[in-house]
Amino acid sequence: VYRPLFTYPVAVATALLVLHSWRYRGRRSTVIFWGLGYVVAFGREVVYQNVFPTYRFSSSDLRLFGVPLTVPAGWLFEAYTSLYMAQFILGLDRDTVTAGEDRMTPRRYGGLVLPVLCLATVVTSTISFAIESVAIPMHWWQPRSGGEGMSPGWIPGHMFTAFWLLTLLLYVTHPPLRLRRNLLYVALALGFTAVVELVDVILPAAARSAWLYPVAAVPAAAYLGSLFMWRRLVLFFFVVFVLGVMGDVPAGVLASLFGVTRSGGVTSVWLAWVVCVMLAYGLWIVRMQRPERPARPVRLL
Amino acid sequence: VSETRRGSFVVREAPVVALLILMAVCLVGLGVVLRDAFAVASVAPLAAVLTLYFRQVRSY
Repeated sequence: VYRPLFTYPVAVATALLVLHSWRYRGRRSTVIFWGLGYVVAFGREVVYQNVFPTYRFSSSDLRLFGVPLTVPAGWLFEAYTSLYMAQFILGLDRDTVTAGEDRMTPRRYGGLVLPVLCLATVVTSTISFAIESVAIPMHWWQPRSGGEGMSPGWIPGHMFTAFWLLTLLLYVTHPPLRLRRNLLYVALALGFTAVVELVDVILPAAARSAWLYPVAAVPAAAYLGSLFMWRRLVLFFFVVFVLGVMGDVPAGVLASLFGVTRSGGVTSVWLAWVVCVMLAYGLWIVRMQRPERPARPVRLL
Repeated sequence: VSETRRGSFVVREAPVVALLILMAVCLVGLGVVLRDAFAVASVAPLAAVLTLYFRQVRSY
């Protein structure tokens, strides 16, 4: 319903973004970001539509393997605008994060690149909140479990996806930013996502076939271990996963304190909790990570 | 590759223009089509981020 209301203006906006990328990031970066990025985002959606039981698309857009062809572009819309905003808010660009060096060090990556990526995911959370609030009531996509409301857990889900997608695209696009451990991180993040999304399938199956326990536990444990590459990564996971995806627990406590008992009310408290936590995280990043004298970004990441 | 100060406003600030378009679409969807005044507030965090961006850019 009313799908063209969204599709056409956003298609024009996306075309503007590609033009912007071509002009300010160059041909090579543009082809990688929008070409490779589309393929990767499309692959994610194919898995979500055919393997993971989270949501399904109900719009009549042209599809391939169950995925509307416009949806991967939506991921890139979020990722590109978020990365741009984060760079300008923090006043960091390609020259400042590489410091003129050909090779990136883990220390510099953690201190300068990770804050940009983490703040970009906070911007992503605000974009996804606006989009999901329209998309679910208009039935463009729906939770497979039914229901008419957005799950607040989807907002940190967008952040998590934007984070590994941007990590991968920055790795491929900018040789001076490359650290091999980031490819490992992306692979482990995908494995962790699979375990989390399939947990309701894995646990009953593992009760019958015990060998499934280690098969599921190894990628999850490896991912959690990989977070300790950087303290900022541990904090990112804590905010996004513990406070966001699992935020229904503190939100439930808050709801009971305020005497909110009906299901819709508790969900609203969870939603408000997630938004407040993410905005507070974003403000903390700006306060702690912004250089003393930020300069206008010239060469974009 | 151009320097980020050059170019027409629409292209130079395309990510901001894109987010403003998105906000407008969401506001029309929530306010006019769905008539859900409460849900209109879902655009507020994005508006806050854009405000922070404009404040920051002015200081450069």
